[in-house]
Amino acid sequence: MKLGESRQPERKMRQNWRDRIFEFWIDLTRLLACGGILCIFVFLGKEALVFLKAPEASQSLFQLAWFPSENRFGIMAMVVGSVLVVGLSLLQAWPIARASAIYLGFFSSPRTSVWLLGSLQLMAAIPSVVVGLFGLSFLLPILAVYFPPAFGLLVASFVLSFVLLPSLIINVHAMLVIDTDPLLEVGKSLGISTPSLIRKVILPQRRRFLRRALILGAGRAFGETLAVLLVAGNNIQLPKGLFEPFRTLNATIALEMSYAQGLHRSALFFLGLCLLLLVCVLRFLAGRENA
Amino acid sequence: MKLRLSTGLALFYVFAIGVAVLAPVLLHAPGALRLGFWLEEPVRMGRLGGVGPVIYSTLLINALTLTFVCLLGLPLAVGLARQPKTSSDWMTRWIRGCLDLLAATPSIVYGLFGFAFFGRVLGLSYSILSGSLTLSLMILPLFVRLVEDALAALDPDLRRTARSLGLSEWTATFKIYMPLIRPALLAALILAWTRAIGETAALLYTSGYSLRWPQSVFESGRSLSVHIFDLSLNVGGADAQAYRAAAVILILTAAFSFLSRFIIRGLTHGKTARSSQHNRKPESPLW
Amino acid sequence: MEKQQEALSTIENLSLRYGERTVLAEINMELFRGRISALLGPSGSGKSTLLYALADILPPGAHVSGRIYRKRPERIVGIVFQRPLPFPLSIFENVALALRERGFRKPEEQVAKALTQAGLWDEVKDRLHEAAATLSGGQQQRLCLARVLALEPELLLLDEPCSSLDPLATQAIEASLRDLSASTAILIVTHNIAQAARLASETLVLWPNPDGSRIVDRGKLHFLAANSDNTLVRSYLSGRIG
Repeated sequence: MKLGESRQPERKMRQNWRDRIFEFWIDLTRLLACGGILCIFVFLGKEALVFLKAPEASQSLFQLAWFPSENRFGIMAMVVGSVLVVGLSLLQAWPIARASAIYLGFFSSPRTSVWLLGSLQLMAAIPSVVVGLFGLSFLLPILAVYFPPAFGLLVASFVLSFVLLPSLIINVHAMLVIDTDPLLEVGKSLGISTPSLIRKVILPQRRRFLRRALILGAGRAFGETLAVLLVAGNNIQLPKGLFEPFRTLNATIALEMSYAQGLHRSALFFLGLCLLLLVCVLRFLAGRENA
Repeated sequence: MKLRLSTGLALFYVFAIGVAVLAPVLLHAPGALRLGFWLEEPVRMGRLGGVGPVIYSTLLINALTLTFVCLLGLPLAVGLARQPKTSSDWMTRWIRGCLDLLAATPSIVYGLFGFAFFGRVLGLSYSILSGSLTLSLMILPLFVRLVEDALAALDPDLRRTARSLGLSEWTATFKIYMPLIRPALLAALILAWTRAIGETAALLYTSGYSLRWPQSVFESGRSLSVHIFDLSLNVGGADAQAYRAAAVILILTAAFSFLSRFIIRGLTHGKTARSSQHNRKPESPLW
Repeated sequence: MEKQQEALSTIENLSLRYGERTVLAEINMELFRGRISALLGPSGSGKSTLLYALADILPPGAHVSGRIYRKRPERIVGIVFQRPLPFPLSIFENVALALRERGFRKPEEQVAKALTQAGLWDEVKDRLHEAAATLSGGQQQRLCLARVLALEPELLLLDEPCSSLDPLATQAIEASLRDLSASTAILIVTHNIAQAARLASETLVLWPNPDGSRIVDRGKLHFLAANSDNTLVRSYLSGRIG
């Protein structure tokens, strides 16, 4: 049989219906991905508008007192609480995460690293509410003996730091070990010890990546609600010590949304919008991945 | 060797806390293994009895969420993976930016949005469907990211071959690419599951906290993590029950990651190539 | 023998750029039925890009000017790459997949024919339904060839098809290519000068330039190696450098 005579289908086939639907579906999901974040902004903004338009409400915005029944919506105590707990937890989590990542990347054998990273992924899968429960039913009773009532910044930031740690370590580790094998080889051949190579070359060279990991970690910390809520005590006040109850922005939304009405509810949406904007700013600061 | 010691200690510290957090959960696991605990209704707000309706709601929410995530996430990842990461195509960049923001959005904000949009605008009020929709929107960026990375790591010559043979995108995706990225797909699904089952804040005001057996997806149902939250915050003397519920979460997660291996194997056909041969880049980090 | 010298594809004045960077400039060439042409040139000279342009699989963002004439544009342009990349399917399905897409319900006959043309039939006829990954590297590469041949391509492009294979596997592929050259036009990119000398009746030398690579020489390899105007090309082709 000569080739020219054989039955030969056309090159540009009619696109079959499956493919058309598939392409259409892809475009639809694209639209949805873009629309999703837009929708979130629009709906939060729309709901918060009532609050922003009410003069007496927005006047009290930058005060400490949050008494929704008296139309006083001062968010500053909660802002300070949020910032403090996030700052303190990062202060605990960051050095540990960096050190652990260095150990995983340069000191443990590759086989062990795989196992350790696997267990870290398991730890990252622990629901944050379970970590909060651990703080509530285990840490607080012990500490309450010495520092009653023990609810407050210290326990909250400790719990939050453990919620952050597993994924933070995995992130930092990933950013540290990319393309470091040749560096280590060269270093060894020049007689530079691994520790000083890490301190003098690798860490400074990766500073930008580490900063990105830190900022993303801060974003996640601001987003965490319930683990903190369970151990924070939730009185709306400026925390005067490490064992004074305080409240975060997220906690206010979670606690009051169930009964909030009217202006109060709108104020809670405004808090949500603030959180969203804050996290977006952090994301922007972290920069693009491939920059 | 000082650096080695100190960094090792840091990692040890992390694992020590991990063990401390998990220890009470594991101690209560025997209580959670009682069959009655899985089937009975909670008594007195959950102080006594089991978590039957809660497990049922949780499974409903998770099944719906994973379905939505796959339906939306797979095509989106396929579409994105066609364009290289550094592409200057404005639309791709825009979509990636939006996904980035979605990934950064706090879960409580998702909860608010779900409450306002799915609950009120779409009229779903407090329902399992509203909760799953909210959750799937929240998990979507992570899932897309993982699947896209796996697709982008495939040898570009494979894509060129498929194009030159005139294979349709559908065939190329489901006969060639998906089987090759099966391990990554599995990891993405398991991760989506663990996020879904561990999430509380996004569900509080979307799927609600009814303790009854939900009759349909349009009714409210309490998920396990919401149950744990409620037990520890609002119900006194229920810590043991909360830990048992946490043990159930761990058991369900383990069971799911075990089961999903078989499901994925069935969906993507048994025969696969040694997929390392098709991968150009080493696997990218999960988080 | 008029049929033997039939030009199956003509490229006229083809230029190609990505954004500001011009990769190929003013490429002119003809591909004839019954002839194996070798495309030689240093790395980065755009050999692969030229193949992609011929096979119409350029990535988005490539700007092409000039014309590519094809005798029968409805036929596919087959392309085989450097690494063997079997689909994660059985040996049979690897070849049958594209045929099924084109509406062949029972592609057994075509599959057998393609596998025979690729010189693989005798080795795999008893294990057609095993996974393609169980084949050796050389066999996988011939499977990739068979996958393309099943669609009876008018042009067959090969991008360093043997660079990851041992000499025996290379020999098997080369034997198949010689048999195939009777019915199709074959263009093979290679870094292996000896392979080009063994296989090709015509050699094209693509040389990089700041304003885009051009085909600087064409003809018999041995003649070019001795007589090219360009000293570098002479050294390259005679194996003194590279």
